[in-house]
Amino acid sequence: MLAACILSGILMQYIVNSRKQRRLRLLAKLRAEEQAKIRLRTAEDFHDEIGNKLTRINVLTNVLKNKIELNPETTRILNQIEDNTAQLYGGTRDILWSLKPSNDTLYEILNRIRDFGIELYQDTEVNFSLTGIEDKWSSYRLPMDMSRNLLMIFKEALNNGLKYSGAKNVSVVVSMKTKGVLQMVLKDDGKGFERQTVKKGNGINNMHIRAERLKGKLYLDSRPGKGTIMNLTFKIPPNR
Amino acid sequence: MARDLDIRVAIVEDDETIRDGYAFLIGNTAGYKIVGTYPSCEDALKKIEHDDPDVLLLDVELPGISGIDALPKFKKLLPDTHILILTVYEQELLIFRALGSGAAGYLTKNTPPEKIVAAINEVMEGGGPMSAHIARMVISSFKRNDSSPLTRRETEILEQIATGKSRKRIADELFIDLETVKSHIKNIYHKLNVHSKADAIKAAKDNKFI
Repeated sequence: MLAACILSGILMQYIVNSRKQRRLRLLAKLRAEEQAKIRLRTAEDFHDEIGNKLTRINVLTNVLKNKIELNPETTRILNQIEDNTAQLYGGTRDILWSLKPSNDTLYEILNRIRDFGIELYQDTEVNFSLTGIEDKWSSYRLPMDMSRNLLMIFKEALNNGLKYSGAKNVSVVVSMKTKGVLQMVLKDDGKGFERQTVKKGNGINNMHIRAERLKGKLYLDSRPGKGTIMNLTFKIPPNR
Repeated sequence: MARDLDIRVAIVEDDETIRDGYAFLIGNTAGYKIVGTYPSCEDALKKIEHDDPDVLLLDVELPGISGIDALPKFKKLLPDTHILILTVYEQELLIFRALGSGAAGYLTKNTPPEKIVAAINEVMEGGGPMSAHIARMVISSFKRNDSSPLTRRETEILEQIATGKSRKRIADELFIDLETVKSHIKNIYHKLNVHSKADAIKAAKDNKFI
């Protein structure tokens, strides 16, 4: 009889305790979510501020072009100011994009890369395509740094293609290999480059570094006159 | 009063540097005339009818009455004016709502002045700027509702835009006039207008924005 009382006492204690633990966990979770929201709002506010100031610089630069004597030197400097603000603008745009919770899927990041390519080659004679994106990948969550590294690799690669290759066709083909490994192959039919003689500028090094961060493999193959192929494979983390 | 041939442009933008800069750059371009600049919708709504602009550049990220909320009021005062909304960053939902409320197109503020002028021209000729990104958004919005008000041809053109092809290239590939493509796009915008109010609300709910 006494044993039964003690036992039920212990049991009740256990139940009360675990309820308390659950409540504490819930509170902690809510607090974390609230903080995340505040952080997000702060980031967005700041980026809006950046965007506004960048626009001012942009507009003022254009007004200046209209008001001063233009010579090759001044034109060059003004264009550099414009290029830098454009890149900054693009950068903040990317960060804002990546902060939106609904964009953290494989589907969204691949479409982002596609939109980037389309916009980049928009007013040119180059045919750009990115194919192979599957709708079901909108349920594959990617950690934010993974998305960012992936985007930066392709921004670099596509920008280089535009600047140096003189290609008429640029294609990216995406496919999911077995065991959750994604493969992305970028091909262009441009003039290619000699690996040894190309200055190891920041671009290619950066791409390799980012591929490492993805824990993936990056192969770059190019020969003068034969175009360029870039092959990136990396593992998609399993869904939580 | 005789109307000269310049395109009449009005600007509503709260940032003074940007507002004055745009006024200078556009006003300085041959064929365009600035007929009014305002720091807010409230100010603009009082006087803009008298300005009689052909095109209105409207910032939609204003303090006070937002450009989006004021859009129907502007449309009422100026039924024949083309309204181009301005945003700092392309915000899908914002643009969608604006297009659905009667905007003729949108521009991001970091667009170089030549392209702003080109967009003004385009909208005067009946087309509206539509990026591949927005086209993709429109397509998925119609898919989301399981029924599309678009004709087969319009859907085809929209899908081509979504892949990033230029209007001229689409016209060439489909063996039709550039004018025909532009007019299809105009119809798409019109149907979007009718369709997207309800969808913008649904999209907001799905994305947990509201």
